[in-house]
Amino acid sequence: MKKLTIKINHVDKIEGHAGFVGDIINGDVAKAKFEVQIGIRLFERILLGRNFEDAAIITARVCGVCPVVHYLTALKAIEDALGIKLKKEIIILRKLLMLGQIIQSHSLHTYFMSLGDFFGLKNNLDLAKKFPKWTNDALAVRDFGNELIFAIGRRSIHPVALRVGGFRREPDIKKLQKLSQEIDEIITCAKNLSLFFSKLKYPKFFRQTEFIALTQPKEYAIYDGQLISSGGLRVAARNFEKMIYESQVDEVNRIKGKDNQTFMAGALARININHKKLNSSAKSILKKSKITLPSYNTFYNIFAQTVEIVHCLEEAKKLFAGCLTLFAVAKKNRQDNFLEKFNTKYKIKAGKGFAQIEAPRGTLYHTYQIDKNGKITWANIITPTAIFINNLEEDLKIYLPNLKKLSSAERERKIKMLIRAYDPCITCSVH
Amino acid sequence: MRPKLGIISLTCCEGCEFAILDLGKRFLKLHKYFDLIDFHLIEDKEGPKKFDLVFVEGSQVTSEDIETLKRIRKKTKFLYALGVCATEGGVQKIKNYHQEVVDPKFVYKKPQKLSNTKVLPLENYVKIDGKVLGCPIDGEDFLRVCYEILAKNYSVNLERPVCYECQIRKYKCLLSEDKPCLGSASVGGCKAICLSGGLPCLACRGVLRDLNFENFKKAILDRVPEERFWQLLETYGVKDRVGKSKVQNPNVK
Repeated sequence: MKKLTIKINHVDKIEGHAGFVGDIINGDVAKAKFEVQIGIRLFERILLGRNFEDAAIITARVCGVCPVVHYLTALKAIEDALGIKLKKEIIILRKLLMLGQIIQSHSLHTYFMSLGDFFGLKNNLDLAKKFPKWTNDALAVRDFGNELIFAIGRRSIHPVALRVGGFRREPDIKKLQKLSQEIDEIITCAKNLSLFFSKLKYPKFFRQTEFIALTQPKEYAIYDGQLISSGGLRVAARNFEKMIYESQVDEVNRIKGKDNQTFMAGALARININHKKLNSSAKSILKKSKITLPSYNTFYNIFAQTVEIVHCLEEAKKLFAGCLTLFAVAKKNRQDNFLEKFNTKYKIKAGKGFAQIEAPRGTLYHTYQIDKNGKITWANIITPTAIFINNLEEDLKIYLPNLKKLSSAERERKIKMLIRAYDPCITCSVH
Repeated sequence: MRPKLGIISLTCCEGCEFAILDLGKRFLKLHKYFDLIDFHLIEDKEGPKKFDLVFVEGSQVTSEDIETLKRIRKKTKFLYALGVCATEGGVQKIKNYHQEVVDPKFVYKKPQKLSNTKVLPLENYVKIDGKVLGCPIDGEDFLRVCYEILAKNYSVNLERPVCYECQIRKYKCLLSEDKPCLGSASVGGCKAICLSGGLPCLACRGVLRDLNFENFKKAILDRVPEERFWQLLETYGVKDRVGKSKVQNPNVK
């Protein structure tokens, strides 16, 4: 019996700590395990007994790279529980915030965490030396995302300005106006970057799987939508938990479908499902790349993210146009809190709420139950990484035999590359 | 030889690391003066034998966390706690106060081999040389510490309440709107950023050393029930700091 064990103690350049162990016995993969190395923080339990407003503030701390998505999903779930309907203006601002999050997270992952893999650059700061222009462009795009979050949420990591029913404080309108003037320039940067990524040499890989993403009839779903899968699943947020089952491996409650299938979530899944609804420039980049959709090559998740950056910037431009009335109100109304009248008033009542959002890495789900005093009595969070982690292992099982003949360093590099392509967030998965 | 700078994260959201990355070009500039090591988000090699300055973010939840922390302490000249998870415990410390309900068995159907120790400030495990406060930290504070160490010029943090920074910026006083804001008892330096968004202060930078706790408590209890008062102090784990005279000062020795 010939046994080859592959062990990677620490997969770097991903969010959180994780390792990998694989066994190949006589050419067959006997084991491919993605090992999580982070402690449990028990978010769902620490929320119990606390006020419903705390849900967003505390769950944002699940993840430092995508706090906005937890913040918004928690708000949405609580608003669902209280039966709150938001006004159009508030939704526009929240959507903009969400776009900022995706732009920020994707540009970090694609450029600063993944690109080095394609050029064998160990230290990503060498990227800055090798590609000074691209680095500047990537930094500009990422800064734009960050500033968008800052302008609306009043802090780029762990925003503060939003509350149940609307906003605590109005956004920094001057900053938003400035950003709306700069956006064309940033779109150009993002388009060039995406074209650059379309020309990279992605490793060959194919494994048919089930993609999962929110969808909307008229737009590329991010802030809201209904969950569908390429396997025909269609499920409302309130029934999501009934359609899946969770099993604990290490510290993660991993997700599988009822038919024991694994799901792929994230940029590639969204593009595969919703590509027809992308904005024009994003669509044309995708077309130029000549990728056949649906794509089953996970490595293209990186390229898909760059396409999404372009889409999100175009979408932000559209939404800025929708903000003009808000800007006008702000100008006319010199007083501090002009946004107050757009907030929805509500009464606290007992109820259960569900919400889903397309986070940078895939579909995120929050649910809360609150009692008549507004205290949280139940909470559950299912993160994108918990959804796709089983799929990642299935991919690795198919991929490993291809790597048998490589040197161990090269093999390790390729395995890490596949893991990184998923953009896993370990801190999210263990929450 | 340039000094070796390490940034290491234990269990946490890693938001403080992103606060550093978000410094962008100013962060890249740091490479002129330091050898940056074990910043796992951007670099992929094992750390060296000795460090000059290490920032540790997060709190110890797994046994590996504690081992890492102790190993790093032996290797480095200066060790700084980065962010509230390291200085106080952070949101994951809430479980300390509610052991009866915060049990892994409620989150995991069959909790197997899960490490679930009490969350404590890092200074309970190793000696620390200083703190960078906040949830998340302000990137400026991180830069300041780096350059101070470089210049061997160690400043002393002034302790000023959040109220001071809030009022000089002319933000609306939330306490006067009957919201339970902890700003009057909390260490500032945050530019009152939460208040700029209308969020009452939750003391992520710790509580003042010379706090008149009884007066502060009374002011909050005029606005919310006592249960809520303690909950607010639990948010970032500063509850066990209040009512005692000696609160660790975020100063450099």
